Amino acid sequence: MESRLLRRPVGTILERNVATKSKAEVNLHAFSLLFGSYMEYTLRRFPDQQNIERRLDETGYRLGPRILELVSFRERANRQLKIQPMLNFISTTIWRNLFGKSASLLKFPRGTWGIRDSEPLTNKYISPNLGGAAFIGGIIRGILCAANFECTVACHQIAPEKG
Amino acid sequence: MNVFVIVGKDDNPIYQAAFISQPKGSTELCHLHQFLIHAALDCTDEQVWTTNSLFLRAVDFFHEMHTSAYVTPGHCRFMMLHDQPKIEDNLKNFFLEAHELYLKVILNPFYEPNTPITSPAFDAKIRALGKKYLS
Repeated sequence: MESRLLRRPVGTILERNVATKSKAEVNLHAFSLLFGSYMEYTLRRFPDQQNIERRLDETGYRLGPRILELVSFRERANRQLKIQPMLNFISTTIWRNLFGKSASLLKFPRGTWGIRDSEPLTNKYISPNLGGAAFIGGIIRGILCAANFECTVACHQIAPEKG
Repeated sequence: MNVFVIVGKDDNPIYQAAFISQPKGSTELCHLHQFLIHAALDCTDEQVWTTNSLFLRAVDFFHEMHTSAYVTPGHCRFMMLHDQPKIEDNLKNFFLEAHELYLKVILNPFYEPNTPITSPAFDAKIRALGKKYLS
């Protein structure tokens, strides 16, 4: 056990294999603990509700382009040219890669779209009232901006569901 | 003679490598290469929305010089200036492997997207790829 812990990965990150999906998944409790601590830290520094949502959104936004490139490469997906296939790709392929399930895509009038996830991972052990889903909203915004689609993303809680 | 450039989403160059067999090219020629790649960026931006494949083949010509482009799903552009029109297949493989290397670089949380890639390991890998596919 000890030798396994001490063993360092050989070579640079460029030697690692990222093209195939690893079977190992991140433990939900570990993720929740880390995410919860991050939210607690942010809340302590910015007690205002809007501020914490903005911070979470920005954190997610930094992840978006990386997730888009990684998932597209693994799934050998092409570039998406239209908004509907793009959102479809997000709500099925990317959702499956991130959360292990797919979300439903909703169409609203006036070019507005919604992605509905009835049980967002960020709200599993954290009170939904804190707006943890803003993190997922930020990821979506990052992905869409990276793919050159202009957008604004908002998170709404529809009792008892999240969109 | 091949020149490889990665251009980020905000039209800023983030990596450049030249594979020149013999160093006979003067600095003037280097400026011409940069200029040609710059010019090809406009053609790339036009063609990007007409096809959903990543590899765009030759997007621009100037006398004997061809510029091929490859655009990732995150709209990062890989440009290659070359003078051998018959190496398209090799180029495609080169771009694919370069894409994987680029992916590994941007997955690094300490790398800020759309900033120059300064990693010497990345540079060495790209040069090895250039030797493998383009010489």
